[in-house]
Amino acid sequence: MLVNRSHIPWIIITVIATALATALFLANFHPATIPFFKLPGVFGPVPPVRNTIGGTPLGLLFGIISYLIFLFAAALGIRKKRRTLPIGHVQTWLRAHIWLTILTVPLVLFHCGFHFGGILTTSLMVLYFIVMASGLYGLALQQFMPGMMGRRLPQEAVFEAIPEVRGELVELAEKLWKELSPAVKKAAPAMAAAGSAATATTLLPDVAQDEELSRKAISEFLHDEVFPYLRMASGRDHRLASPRAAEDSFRLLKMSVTPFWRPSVERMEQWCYDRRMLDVQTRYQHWLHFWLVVHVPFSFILLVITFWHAYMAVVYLKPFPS
Amino acid sequence: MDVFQRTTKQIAAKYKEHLDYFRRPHYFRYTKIICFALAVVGSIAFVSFPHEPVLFSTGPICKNHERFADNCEKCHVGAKPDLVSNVTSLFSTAKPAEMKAGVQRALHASNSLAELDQACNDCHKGFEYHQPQSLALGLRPVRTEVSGAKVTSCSECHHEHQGPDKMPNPPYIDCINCHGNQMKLEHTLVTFKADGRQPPPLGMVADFKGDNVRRFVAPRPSPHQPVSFASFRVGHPAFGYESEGLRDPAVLHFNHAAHGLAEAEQPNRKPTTIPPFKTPTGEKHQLTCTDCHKPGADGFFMQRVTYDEHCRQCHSLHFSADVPELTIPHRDPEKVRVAMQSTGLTSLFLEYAGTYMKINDRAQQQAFIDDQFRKLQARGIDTTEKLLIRVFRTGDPPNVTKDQAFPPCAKCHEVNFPGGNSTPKITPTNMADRWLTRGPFKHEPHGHMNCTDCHRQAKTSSKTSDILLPPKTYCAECHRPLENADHTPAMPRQGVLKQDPELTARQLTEGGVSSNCQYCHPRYHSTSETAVFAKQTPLLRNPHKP
Repeated sequence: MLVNRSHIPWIIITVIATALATALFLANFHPATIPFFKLPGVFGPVPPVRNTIGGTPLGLLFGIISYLIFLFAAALGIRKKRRTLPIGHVQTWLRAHIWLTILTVPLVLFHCGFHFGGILTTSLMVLYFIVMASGLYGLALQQFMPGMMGRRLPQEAVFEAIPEVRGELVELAEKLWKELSPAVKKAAPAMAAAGSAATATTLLPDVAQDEELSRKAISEFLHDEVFPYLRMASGRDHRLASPRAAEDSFRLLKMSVTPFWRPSVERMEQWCYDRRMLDVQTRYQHWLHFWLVVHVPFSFILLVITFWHAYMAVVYLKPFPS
Repeated sequence: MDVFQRTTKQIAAKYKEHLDYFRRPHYFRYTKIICFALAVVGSIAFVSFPHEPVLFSTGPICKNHERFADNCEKCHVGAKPDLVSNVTSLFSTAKPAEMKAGVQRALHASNSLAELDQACNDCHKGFEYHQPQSLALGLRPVRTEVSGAKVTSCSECHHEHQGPDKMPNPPYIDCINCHGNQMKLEHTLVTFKADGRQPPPLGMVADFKGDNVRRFVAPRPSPHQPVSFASFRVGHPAFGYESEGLRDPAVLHFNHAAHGLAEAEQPNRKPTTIPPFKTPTGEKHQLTCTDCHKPGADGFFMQRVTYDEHCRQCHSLHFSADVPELTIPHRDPEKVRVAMQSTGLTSLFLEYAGTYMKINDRAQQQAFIDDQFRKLQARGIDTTEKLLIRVFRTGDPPNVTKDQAFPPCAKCHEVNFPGGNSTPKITPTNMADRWLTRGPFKHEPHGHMNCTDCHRQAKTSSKTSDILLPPKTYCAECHRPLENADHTPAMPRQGVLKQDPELTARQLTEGGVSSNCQYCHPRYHSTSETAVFAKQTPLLRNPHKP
């Protein structure tokens, strides 16, 4: 999602909420820094009498709000699957997902009092940072990658159809490979006749030999370069993956074949170009979407471990009735 | 830009045979699904299995409790870190009303620590009441009641899981939380009976602990309601000896001003009345505070001032200049009376002749003794009674030369004559060794200061009854937060005891010396004073509430 002017209201809400949370935190735990702001009595004594922040009423409030935001953020996946549900535009959900989770950064830090605590809580903070970092990474990518892809990939393919499209290119190359032999045989007598007629009256090049050489050159190039490139799982390391190297190779090939065979060379060049673009698109798609492989699973783990943390914090203060 | 210009139809032709691509497996989609599935299964499985309680600990347990560091239930009673069994028991056995009550209790868990505190009290019996520090508790012999406080929770001040070292004393901010809140002080006040006796209105000095240390104790109104204060400087109660009307009950005639101080310490003062005296090595020495007042062996407080160590050098009880080594016995009036009898004096003179004059001949000894008696008669002392009066009460009259005169007991002491031939009674001096009773005091950190920077009244005090200890306000001139928080506190270098008037002036002006409660009121409880109220019933739970 592009962060544009439509996000301004959300930015304002997030900033105001952060400022309010900061004021509440300072007023409760560092009252000397903000003497003009008095907390309501429901938040308990100021500063709190116990040596904990997460367990105080305000700390719990921060924690609960953060967890509710986590749940809402997790619900985005369901909302995207059920697009027909009349519960707000998906774009709105996405904006809320971004800015409310950014809001959880100060809320979580205020809840834990800027301390990581023991093993469980430290692990929880690490998980949280992984989720937030991956999400922000994805958000940052989404600001420039689609535009970049649009500029660099004029004929962007459907990502999930890329394997089939690549297979199609291989089939076309194989078709050319088959065409190479019959085409030469058909053309050879006419060329030979044209050649012999020429030698009777004037001095003419050996057309048949040129055609044979052209066919051979194309065949060799097709066999040695094009087929391996089109069939490779990742064509990155191949010579034809470089636009300049490919251009030079095909220019040389065009110069070494007869005009009859140049359209074939151009077709091969097009296939290689398509393959290159597909590889670039695959790489860009990986960048653009692979963070989700980290973000989504870790988000779920974060939800479960956060619930576990909340439950255990209560257990060690006040056990459930047995 | 596309190098190869293609029409839309040509582009669409790529997909002609592959329109059901979305039905075929794609590695990216399946990677996401598999990773998510692993996360779901893994996380739920992880939290479902029981784990070591150390996983949930917020920090190492202190050395005091390391015996049961692996037994969390010792304090967290009933806490079982088994999510599955806890949740299933909640849903399988609990009725809806009980479930609701359990959830409500869980939600209020942050405000209620009753069960944790009960675990504390199971071992630390009697500490459900906040008790004064052990030094204050030691004043029970001179109190009829002792105040405590019914606090809400032990862990308000005593924080566990802070590290593997010994549990530290609560930080001073915890003290201020209560001692800075008058309402809290009033509502939590609990009073316990003590079997002591109140000091008289003017205060008293007594060794009430049986440790041969005489302490000054001021009376305190009963019942005693602690007063809240904001800091040491603002509102902290005055020291006990500052109360109006209190007197130093020492029975000794002593005049600080007459003893004067070294001119070097007070350059602007008039020359002292006491001339320099000669030390045993023959050097001249001007009297200073530290000639009499010396720090205790452990650095705390001051050593007791005694005649033998501090006064004798000037106030010699020599008998006469002719027999300089012969001195009137100090401390025991009966001994003095016996020594001043004829037979006693004869023995003294005889012993003196043999020891100091090296007169071994009997006749010469007798001549020496007779000569001394004649000299006594020349001083107007011809009877034992006259001698005793001069020794105990009057001293020698003015016409006797200074070298001959000896100071009477009554010069410094209160002497009572019961009459007849009874030995005069000397009232014990009863000088206080300690004036501060709720915290130790070390002079060493104040070595850069002049004595009279704090003991300002000592310069002009002429009465023994003057209390020359500094009031709290003097201490608070330095022991307060810095006037300007941007400045660095002026501190003496460690171990350097040289006087530094400039440093002293800076501290007096700027403050910056620590004023934390723990700085002066350390060592909260000693083993001998633990659980003072363990078996007592409060005399008054709260005198301010019915």
